[in-house]
Amino acid sequence: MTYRKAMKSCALALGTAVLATAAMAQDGPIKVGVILPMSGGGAYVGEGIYAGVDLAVKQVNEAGGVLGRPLQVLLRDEQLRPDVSTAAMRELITLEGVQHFIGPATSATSLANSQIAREEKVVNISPSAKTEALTAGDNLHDYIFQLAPTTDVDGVRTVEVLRGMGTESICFTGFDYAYTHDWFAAIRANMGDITEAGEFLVPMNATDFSATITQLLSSDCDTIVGTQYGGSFIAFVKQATPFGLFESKKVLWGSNTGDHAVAAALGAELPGGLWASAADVWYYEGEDSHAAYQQALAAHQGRKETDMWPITGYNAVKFLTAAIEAAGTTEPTAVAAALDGLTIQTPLGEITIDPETNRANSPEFYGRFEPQEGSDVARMTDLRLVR
Amino acid sequence: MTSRPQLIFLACLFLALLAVPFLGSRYLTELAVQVMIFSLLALSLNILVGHIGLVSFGHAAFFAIGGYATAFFLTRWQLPLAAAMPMAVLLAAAFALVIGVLCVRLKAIYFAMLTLAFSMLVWGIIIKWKPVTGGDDGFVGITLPGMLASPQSFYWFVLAVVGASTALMWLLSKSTMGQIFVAIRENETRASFLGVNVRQMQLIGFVLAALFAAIAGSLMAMYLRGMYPQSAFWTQSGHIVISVLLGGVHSFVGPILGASLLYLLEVTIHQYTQYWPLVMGLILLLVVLVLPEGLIELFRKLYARLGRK
Amino acid sequence: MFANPMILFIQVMNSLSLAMNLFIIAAGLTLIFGVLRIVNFAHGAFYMVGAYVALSILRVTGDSNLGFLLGVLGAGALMGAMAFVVERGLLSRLYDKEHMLQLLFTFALVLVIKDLVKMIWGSGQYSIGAPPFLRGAVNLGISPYPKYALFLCVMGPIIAVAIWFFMERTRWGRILRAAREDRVMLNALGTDVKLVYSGVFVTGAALAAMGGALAAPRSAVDPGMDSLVIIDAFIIVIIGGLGSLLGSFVGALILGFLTVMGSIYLKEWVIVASYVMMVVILLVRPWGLFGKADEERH
Repeated sequence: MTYRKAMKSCALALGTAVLATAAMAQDGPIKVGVILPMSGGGAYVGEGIYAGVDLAVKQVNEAGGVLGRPLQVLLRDEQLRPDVSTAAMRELITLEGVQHFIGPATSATSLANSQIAREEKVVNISPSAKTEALTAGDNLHDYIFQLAPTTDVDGVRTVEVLRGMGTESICFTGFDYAYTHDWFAAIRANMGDITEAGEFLVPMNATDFSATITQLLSSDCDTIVGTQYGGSFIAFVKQATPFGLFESKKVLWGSNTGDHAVAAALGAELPGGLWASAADVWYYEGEDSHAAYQQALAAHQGRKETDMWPITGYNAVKFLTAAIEAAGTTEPTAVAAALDGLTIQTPLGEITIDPETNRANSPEFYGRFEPQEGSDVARMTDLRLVR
Repeated sequence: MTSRPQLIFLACLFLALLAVPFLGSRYLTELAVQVMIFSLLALSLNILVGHIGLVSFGHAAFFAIGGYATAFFLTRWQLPLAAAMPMAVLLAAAFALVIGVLCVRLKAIYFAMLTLAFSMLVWGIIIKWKPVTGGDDGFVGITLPGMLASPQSFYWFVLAVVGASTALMWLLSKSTMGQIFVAIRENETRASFLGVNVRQMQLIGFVLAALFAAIAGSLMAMYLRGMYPQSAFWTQSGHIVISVLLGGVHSFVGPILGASLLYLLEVTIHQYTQYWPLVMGLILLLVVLVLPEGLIELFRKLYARLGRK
Repeated sequence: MFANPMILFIQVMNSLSLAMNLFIIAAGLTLIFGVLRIVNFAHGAFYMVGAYVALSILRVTGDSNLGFLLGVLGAGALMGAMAFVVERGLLSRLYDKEHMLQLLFTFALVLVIKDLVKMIWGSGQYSIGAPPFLRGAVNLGISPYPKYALFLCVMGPIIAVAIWFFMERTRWGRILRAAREDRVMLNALGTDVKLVYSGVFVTGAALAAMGGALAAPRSAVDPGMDSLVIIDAFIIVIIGGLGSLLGSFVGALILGFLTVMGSIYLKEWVIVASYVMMVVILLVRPWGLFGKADEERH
């Protein structure tokens, strides 16, 4: 942003802020329902997304709000349970009159809530769910918008990266659940002459991966593609490292394990050479808008080395406010219509929501973890922002 | 606890529930729907826990079977509700018959464990049988019959079903069979000396409990517009046991109090703090320590005081 | 698939180390289950607290062998102390009340503990590395194998023998066994049953916490870790027989082999296998493999 442009938007913001005060008294704040996992094993995702939501809302409100009204966030814990997340959504609709939702975080809860959004005709922006099913076939409706790249998109991008790695044959491993099956299917559909040497899945919530690790070691593949996430990924790494898995095979991991939080948790235990993806990395130095965002986020969270999840919540708020602004009303049908084909400036450049599929073309980072000089925490190198 | 105050309570509750839709708050209407369903579920478990004296740790299995079957029949087979719901309930009862035959041979904690094992088996199958259940994503998007689409009409439907079920369970508890159940709970050996076929009666109780749990599951599936594997998980079973214990097992209305309080606490604490588990846990600790007989004790004391006046 | 005997050997080792890992976690549950007859829902929460406490201790001591040892012991000591307060202050009031109330109590405890852990340590993930002398792999002749997994294979039996020795060969153990058989009689004989109960609850909780610290180098330290492990612990205790140490040991071996071998032959369907096994064992022997067919049997 140039200086003049910045001044102009500042003046504009000030102007609206002054105008806003009067309007606010009449209309009150615009309520935004935010439904995320805030307890249990998924809490780190929920808290991360919420931090981004909070930051964006603060920025929007400081700049005078939307249509002269401030945003007010109503947060609920989805507990990773679709029955809880849908009940929370209905509670917010019926008790608080909320018409705009961000969340939930996971595929299962997002699918469930999307049905409620369709029925109740409220805007539902899904910041992080990657499942194709959310916006495919019968499930696609006017009120659901999917910001995260879906598994089909990931599949194409992953194969590109695999080719860059010189992969000739793959072994698949991961939890037996929808994301794994969808992503692997998308990779298979795109991998051309790369061969598959086997698939070794474990039940959801398995804690011991030693049998799979042994199978992977004895398989005839040069690259392993896996999907365990969060704490389970950490457990996999710790169990696989002494077996020498990461020395004998190249490894590419899904589930956004390129998140800095993962690297920070594992520290020196993170195997060098691991390929991964992330929605955001704080040490990316490509765009000014990203630097500005990271600076604001660092101030907001009180630490410089931030995680990847905030950007998903941040962009969700920015899309919502831009749509309300464009629609000139908070009426959900108009806002949903405004979201169709909407393009906004984000910290990672322009992102557009496709009016047909209701999916955003959000970019993601792909890179290879390597240890850093003077730090215990590895970072992704060969970092590319894939669009 | 004697019958009269409980009947008065149930009657008052029913009248209050009749008034709910007229308050004009859709939130209250929907909240009441959920509370009624969870109360029915707790009542159904209490046939086992309170009346027969068997604690099932796998009761959620029948809740889930009822829900999934309703979802499947309504949506995949496009059956009318009048067929889908009874079929789902009967299916769950059939499962209960098979599982029950094996479980009622055992007593106390062993019974609890075998029911737990069976319910986790049901959960595992739900997770893996994706074409029918939707796997870990759950069964999403149930086609509701048009006449139940509005929150009001759904409310009346739930009130009718839960009310009728509760009435049936009440009559059951006062019937000869109910008395035999209690006789078994108090002293199994004596009951069998008196010519009661203990196993058979326990099995009947097990199937009846499952049947009402399936009705609750069926209603829940329709309310949620979906059914999810967590509903069969052992934590859900634990939740039902907790509801019953919280209310108090040795009365008919106790489980209603327990389930209602537990659910209302969950919903409302959520609205105020992220740290809802802590607040909830502390409240439960307090109840356990101060009201070891369950909430019914509070109710009883209140009634006794009113009676004296 | 096992044309290669080396792979079979490694899978057997994997089964054993998983089994011992599980046994270490389940040992405390068995103890409390056996003597107090309490279904301790909070066992997983105690396990989680143990891992977090070890994490904090390791942050102070730095990454060293001694630090790890202190972490494990400190986790047990701190959890034991907390369990003492909870047992004396709250739980002991419920012993003469309705049996199931204790269940409600431990359920409430889970909610409180998990939230406190989140308040203190946050919701992120952490990792505890194996102590330096147990990192990497050791050559077993046929193939190399992770040292820490071998360490757990050794620790499991050591803990089992230690508990056995305590129960069978010491005066305290005799009192405990007596408490398990007949509480009333024990009371009549003048032994302070209260003290026995405190001791059991504290020991069980401390074992859970040490189990958490010992398992941490093979897992992550995060707010979901308790729920992942508690079911396995319950399955082990149930199939082994209530309160039977030997039963839990054998139960852990069965579950360990079933999980590892099952994931090879049954693939993802292994998720159902452990519950089928549990059903079958309970149908054949309702009181578990090594449990006593006591008065509560049919």
